[in-house]
Amino acid sequence: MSSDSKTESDDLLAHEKKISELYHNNQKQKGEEPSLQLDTEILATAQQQMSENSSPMIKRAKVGQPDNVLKHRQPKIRNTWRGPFSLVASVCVLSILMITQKDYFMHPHHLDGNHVGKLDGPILGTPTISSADSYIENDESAQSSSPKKISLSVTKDKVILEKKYPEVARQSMSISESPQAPKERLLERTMLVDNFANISSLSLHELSKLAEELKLELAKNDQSTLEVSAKITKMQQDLFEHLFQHQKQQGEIKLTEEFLNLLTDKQIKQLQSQTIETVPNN
Amino acid sequence: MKQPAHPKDRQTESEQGISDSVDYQGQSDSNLMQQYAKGDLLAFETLYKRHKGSLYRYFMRHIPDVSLAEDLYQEIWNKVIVNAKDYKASAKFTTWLYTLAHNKLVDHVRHLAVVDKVEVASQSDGSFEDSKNTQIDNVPESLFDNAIMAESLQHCISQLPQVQKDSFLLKEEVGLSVSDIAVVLNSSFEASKSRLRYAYENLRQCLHIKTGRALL
Repeated sequence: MSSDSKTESDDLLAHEKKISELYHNNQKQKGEEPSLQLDTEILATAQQQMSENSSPMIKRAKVGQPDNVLKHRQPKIRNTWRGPFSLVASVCVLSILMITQKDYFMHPHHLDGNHVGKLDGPILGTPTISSADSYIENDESAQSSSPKKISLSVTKDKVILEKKYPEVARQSMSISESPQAPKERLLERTMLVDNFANISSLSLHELSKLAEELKLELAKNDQSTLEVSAKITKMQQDLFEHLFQHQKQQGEIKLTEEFLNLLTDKQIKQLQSQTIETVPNN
Repeated sequence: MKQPAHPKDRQTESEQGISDSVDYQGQSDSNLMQQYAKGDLLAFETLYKRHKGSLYRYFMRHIPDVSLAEDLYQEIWNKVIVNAKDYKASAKFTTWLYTLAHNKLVDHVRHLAVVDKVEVASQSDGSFEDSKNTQIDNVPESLFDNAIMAESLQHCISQLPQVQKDSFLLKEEVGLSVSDIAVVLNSSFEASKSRLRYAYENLRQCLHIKTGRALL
């Protein structure tokens, strides 16, 4: 059985070889090949495809030239309007700055730390006593009046704020104000009493008149010049000093809205504390 | 001004061309294909000359209509030309080429099956079985030489079932191994081997019937 299968497989291989030989002999005799025309067509197609593949590169190179020229031209066109535009824009910005911040450019020395707020918006912080002192000193030396060492915490911005939004201003004052020691407060009060000793006492009517003038000045203050603000500060201080003196001499004084709106928070506090002190004394 | 080339220079140029073509002959199909993809037309010419005969005969054996076979043959080469850039060296060129050819044939046969449905239905399914029984009559014994055997073989090949014919042609015409045939025909190694065996056996029987002579 096994020998039979072996011969069968041998036979198969033998006839496979025979068929293979027969097939290849037949091909050689026939010499079946594609026609020359077919060969030429196929080779032409190959050449055409090759040139098509390379032509986009050439086209790109050719077309790329005007593209590049355009690309180079575009920045030039842009540059023609970019320069003047940026110049005009710069001039506009500078002129706007000059108009809006005229005070800063005209009188930069008038602005101390507390006035910076004018440029950036209202500052709700409490100015220090020392800075207020120096401000008053400068102002009064210019007017050649007697120096008064008073604690002042008024700025122009604060005045505006207190005028328009007194409640907000008071709240901000109460938040930002650091709690003072009782000793310091006592010292401050005695200083105030000493300072206001030579100030003549005004009647309530006169005080109202003074307050009215201050109000008018505040209304003018919308024009916001530093000179006006200095005047207001002085008037405010005057009003406070007279009120203080009046309170000291006459006793209790009712702080009406008329005065409350014009005075600073600190001044109001000082007047109130003066009232508290006067009442037990009386 | 451009100087005409010196005859000696021309000679050296032609010599250079010969040596180049010799170089191309020594190169593998994949290398030639890659070189063509890079724009070397000579590489494609070499590749074409190497495979044109076998591919042409592959189509001629499958399709009796010569003009149709030539059309399909040309289409395949056009495909090779167009897809040269996409060709990956990892794939064997012959396998790739005959896979394209086989798929083309399958499409063609499907198309024919739809168009000539009535005609095909009228014919018997086992065309090979019918044809191999048609004995060549009235042929003198002296004429049973190799030429007639070859003629008979060609006829028998044409009568083989499609898959067997494919396997046989890929083996004998293209010289592919069984594993490569399996790749081209998208079948298993064993199936391809079995098909080949059946093809040879059928051809042996057909030749025996046609010629009245046993091969061995």
